[in-house]
Amino acid sequence: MEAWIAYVRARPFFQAGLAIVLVICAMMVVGPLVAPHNPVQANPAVSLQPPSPNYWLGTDDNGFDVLSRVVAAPRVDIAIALIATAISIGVGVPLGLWAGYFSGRRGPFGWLSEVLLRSMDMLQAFPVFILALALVAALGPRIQNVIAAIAFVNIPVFVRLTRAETLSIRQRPFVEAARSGGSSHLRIAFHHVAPNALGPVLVQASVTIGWAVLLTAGLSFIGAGIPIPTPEWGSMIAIGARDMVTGQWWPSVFPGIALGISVVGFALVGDGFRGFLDPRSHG
Amino acid sequence: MSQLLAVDQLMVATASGSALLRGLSFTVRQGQSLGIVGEAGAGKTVLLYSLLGMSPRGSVVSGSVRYKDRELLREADSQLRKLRGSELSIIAGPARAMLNPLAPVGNQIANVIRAHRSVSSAIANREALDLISRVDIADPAWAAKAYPHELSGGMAQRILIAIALANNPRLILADEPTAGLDTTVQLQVLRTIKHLVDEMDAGLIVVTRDLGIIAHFCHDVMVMREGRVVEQGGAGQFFAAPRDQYSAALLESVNLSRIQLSDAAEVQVSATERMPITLRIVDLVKDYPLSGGRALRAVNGVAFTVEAGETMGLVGESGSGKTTVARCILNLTTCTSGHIEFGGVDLAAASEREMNSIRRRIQAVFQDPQGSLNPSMSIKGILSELILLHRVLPQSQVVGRVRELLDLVDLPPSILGRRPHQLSAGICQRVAIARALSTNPELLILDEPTSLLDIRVRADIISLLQRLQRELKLTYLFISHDLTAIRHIADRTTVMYLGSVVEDGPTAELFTSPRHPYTKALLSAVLNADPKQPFDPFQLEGEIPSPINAPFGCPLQTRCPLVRTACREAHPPLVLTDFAEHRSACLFWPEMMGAGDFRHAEVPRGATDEAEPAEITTPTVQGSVPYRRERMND
Amino acid sequence: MVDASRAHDLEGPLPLTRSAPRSGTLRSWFDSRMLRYLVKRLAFLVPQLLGISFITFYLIRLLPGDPATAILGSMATPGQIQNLREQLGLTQPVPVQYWLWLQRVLHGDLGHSNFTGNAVASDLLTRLPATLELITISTVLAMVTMIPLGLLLGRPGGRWRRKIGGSGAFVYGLLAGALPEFWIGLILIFVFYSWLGLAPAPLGRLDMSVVPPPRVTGFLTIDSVVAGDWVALGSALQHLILPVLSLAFVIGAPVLRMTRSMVENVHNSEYMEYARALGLRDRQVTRYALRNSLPPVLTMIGLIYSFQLGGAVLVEQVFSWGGAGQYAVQAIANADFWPVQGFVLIAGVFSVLIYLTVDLLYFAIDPRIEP
Repeated sequence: MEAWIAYVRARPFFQAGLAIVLVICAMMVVGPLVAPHNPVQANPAVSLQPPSPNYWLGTDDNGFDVLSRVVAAPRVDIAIALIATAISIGVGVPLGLWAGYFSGRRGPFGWLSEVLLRSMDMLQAFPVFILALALVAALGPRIQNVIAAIAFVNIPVFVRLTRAETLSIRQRPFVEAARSGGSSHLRIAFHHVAPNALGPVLVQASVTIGWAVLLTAGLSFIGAGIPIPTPEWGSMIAIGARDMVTGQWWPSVFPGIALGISVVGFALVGDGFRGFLDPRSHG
Repeated sequence: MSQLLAVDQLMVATASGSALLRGLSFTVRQGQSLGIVGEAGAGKTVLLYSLLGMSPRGSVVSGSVRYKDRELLREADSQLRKLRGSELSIIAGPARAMLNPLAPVGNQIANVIRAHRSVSSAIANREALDLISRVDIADPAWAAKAYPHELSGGMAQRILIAIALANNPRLILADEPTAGLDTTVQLQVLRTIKHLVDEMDAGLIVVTRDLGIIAHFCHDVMVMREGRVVEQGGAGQFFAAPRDQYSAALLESVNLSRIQLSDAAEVQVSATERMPITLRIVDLVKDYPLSGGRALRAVNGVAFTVEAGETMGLVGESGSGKTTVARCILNLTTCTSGHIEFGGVDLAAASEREMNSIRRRIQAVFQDPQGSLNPSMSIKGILSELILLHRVLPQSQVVGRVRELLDLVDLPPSILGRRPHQLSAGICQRVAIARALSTNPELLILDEPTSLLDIRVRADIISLLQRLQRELKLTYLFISHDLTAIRHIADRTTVMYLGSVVEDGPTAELFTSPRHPYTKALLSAVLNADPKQPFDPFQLEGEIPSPINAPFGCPLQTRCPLVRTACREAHPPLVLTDFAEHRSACLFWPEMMGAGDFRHAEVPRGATDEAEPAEITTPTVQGSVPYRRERMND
Repeated sequence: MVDASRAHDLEGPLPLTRSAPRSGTLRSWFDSRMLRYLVKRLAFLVPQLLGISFITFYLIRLLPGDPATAILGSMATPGQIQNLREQLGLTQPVPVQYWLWLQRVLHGDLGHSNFTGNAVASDLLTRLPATLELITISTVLAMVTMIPLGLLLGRPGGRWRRKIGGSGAFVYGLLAGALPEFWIGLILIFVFYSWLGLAPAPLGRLDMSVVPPPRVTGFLTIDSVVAGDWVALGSALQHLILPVLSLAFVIGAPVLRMTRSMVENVHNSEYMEYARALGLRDRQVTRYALRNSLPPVLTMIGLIYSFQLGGAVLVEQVFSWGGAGQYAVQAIANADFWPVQGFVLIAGVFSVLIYLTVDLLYFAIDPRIEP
């Protein structure tokens, strides 16, 4: 534990990342409540106003206050990302553990793990965005479908990652030692292998959350995600796209910046975790 | 002899200030070989690379390194580059890691040639081929086109030697040149190096952790510790009477001379009272199926017994199958045929309840100290695990027992909260031993428990194991390729080669009077840290074949100097030799008798007996009738 | 010394691989490792493609309610709906439906678009080159700029170069991974078109006034060169700059990071140190480093190339590119099912082929891989 605190203290980037994530999560919870104007109610009279003391980030084409919507959007964007990632991990990690532990062995388990791997390969053949797109297009643009689609396309990543970790850990001497000590396969998988495999999963989780936010934004941008008027960074950028061309930059730029900062925050946190796990970086 | 290298007060410190080398001074003359010995972290490798002007990036270097007339520390890197690989060349180990995995080795040799001399690639390739045959590789044409991963360890090492010789070096630096090689191969490689160095009248610096190599191949020795020279001088004088305390401790540890030989080391004369047999292996066979319907036979009908309270040593090089036998006993892998009995119970036929009890009674200690401990668990957790798993004690008594275990292995309770990566290898191995003892086992399988440990730690662990055996009445199966350790700890020894037992019997007898060519070769390849050890030239040719291509008949036939037609016709059975309870699988074991017996194996240090001529003078024995002679009180 | 009669030492090394004859004859090529791998890999291709197609097919089953109605839309007659239902075999078990669907696909029938009125296959064929041109040029741009940069930054020595380069690469990596390409595209449009007036309007691949060259490949750049139409080439290039930059900016970061880390690893590896200790010239050492770093970089480029299809969808939308990506987006907006499915299928097949190519290249370069 002290090692952890010392580590964090020595790394300003990591601290910055943690700070960002905390702020974003806070916004997720209280965002709509602290917004100065109603994020879902448009006031056509003040449409397309540049940033001003009344509307700090300006207003968009429909008369929505950009700041209010930027601040309210995490409730959708981040929540989707967190939930979808949690589902991916919940499904992918146990599958990966199982596949890695039984890979190469004879018998039905080994064979099933091969099948699983091949299926993951198939899924990963599609570009991630296009697969998500297809899923939402087929199911319909509703928030639960977006969550399901994003969770689904990220499962293979966790399966592969966990499987690879399990495979490498499986060969380490202490697993053999545990076997010879009399532990059963199940006990080894959970007690010995899993705790050592979780580190990289944690790192990947931060990265996946960032991807999920970008995916949501991308889907919403082309209209295959969260429908308007729910505030969402991607659809906000879409709304403001035409205006960018004519020189009104604020409706699209600010959501993009907010998007970028959130993803950077998660990336820095993930980076920090990775550095902590890598024994070489310990002072 | 002219002076080649003069090092004066060489100091190397990292950019952040920690010192790597603290003022080393030594000289090397033409035709002379200097051995540098020390434990891990002593700075030996840093020294070698610093001589080449390649100290770690960013480090600060001071002092003087004079090669012939040149002050190397003051020369530009471009000038030094011309020396490296030509006049000053380096051999390092392990060999396969040093070669570019994506290029055929012949090309790599040719590249080094062309880096220093402007010759056409045709000429360079031809020279490379020539060098490859000079280092005694059969079929140089094949080898030249091979990739590093296709070569065996010994061959790859020879390629490195070829590279080092490519441009007529004046001084050769060898950094652990036999790392990772089998005992018999190690000897071959060292002799190749020595022979070629003598041929060229070059200077040689050998860096190693193995004092035996220095005893037999170097004129002078320099002992390093934490970047400092602790002692230096002539090898003969050093081994006879080291001046420094640390060097003396090293020497003692290598020879295990301060450890008592195990009680039963004396030759068992006649059958004494039999102890109940703890472990019995009968006709064990283990096949690994390969693609195409073939199989790799890792264990080929092995049989031996281990009696309660004794230590059985299991010896062999790579491919011998000794580790596979251990894994079968521990049920980490199922044997293809044959059976294993423990305490009278056949492991394959045991009921669930019997198996649970057996798992508690057989435990193991493995080769990699830190690797065998779960990095995410604390020492307390590691030691408690088996107690709880096998329900040896109720929960409330576990903590007390854990402390007891630590005490048994001489460790303080303060490490309970630590994790394995925070502890040294020696301590981790003690923890591993404590863990193995936590279920009150009867039999301990020790698979190379000391091979990854440093010299002094090795001795400590072996003495700990001996003490524990006495105190707790344990039975050991001690698997190792370290013959000195076997000699000290094992009461009886079984020698394996390519999956078969080739010889077994009481350790002392085996070591003084081997009755199988392989054992004899193995023993003669062991370099004891004693320059006066007579050098028995009983050598095997070539390298250990892959188990996939194990020959039919006697497994040693491809390399044995005594091979005859009979050896190829059938697999020789284990038969009793002239000693009681000492068996050999050589059809011509009587030829092993007589003058070739080793005297030095009795007392490793200060051997004064003269070597007897090693020629085999007994006549050939036809047929396979075992020649048995009661040999009492010899 | 060791005896010269080493007839039994033929076993030699542990035969970890059955190394094939390495001479250059045609016979040996047929015998060779490469051919065996090729055959094995191609055999694997078929199940892969089947798997892709099945996943794509399954999308129909995800449509809420009655698939036939969803596909034909609200304007369809009951007769048409019934027809489609039969065609799809909706009352039959899934494998039969798949088989019916697969047969049609193999005959080139990917359905009809309600919106354009054309067969999806021909729609895609017309629009695909635009997408491919876009992603190919941006991948090439990213490679050409980032690989040399990675080589430079990964090399040892030059403390300042590496420190500054390292921080720069770090920041670039963060930004490129966090900012979506469609947003970057919009920013670029704003800066270079709305504000500076340097770039053309984001309204497609050519100026309104320029006549496209006769279609040979569908790639405007190639076709205009073939036709000698420099005006068209100029216009095409002008219009390509911003969308290509949007994509290349994002994918450049992983290329840079991977190249740099691979080069660093190779330079720090034992055999590199050793090569230097043997006096090999820097040039030679660098050549070693390059060749050994290549395999993973290659794999990554393959991954990126197919990944870009997703990014292309977004960028095409921003720049009204008229490629297959925008086609799919339009279809979604119009609840037009077949084009979406067709696009997804093409994307999957494309990826599989890219991975195959990368695998073959990797295999050719690294002799350690078993066929």
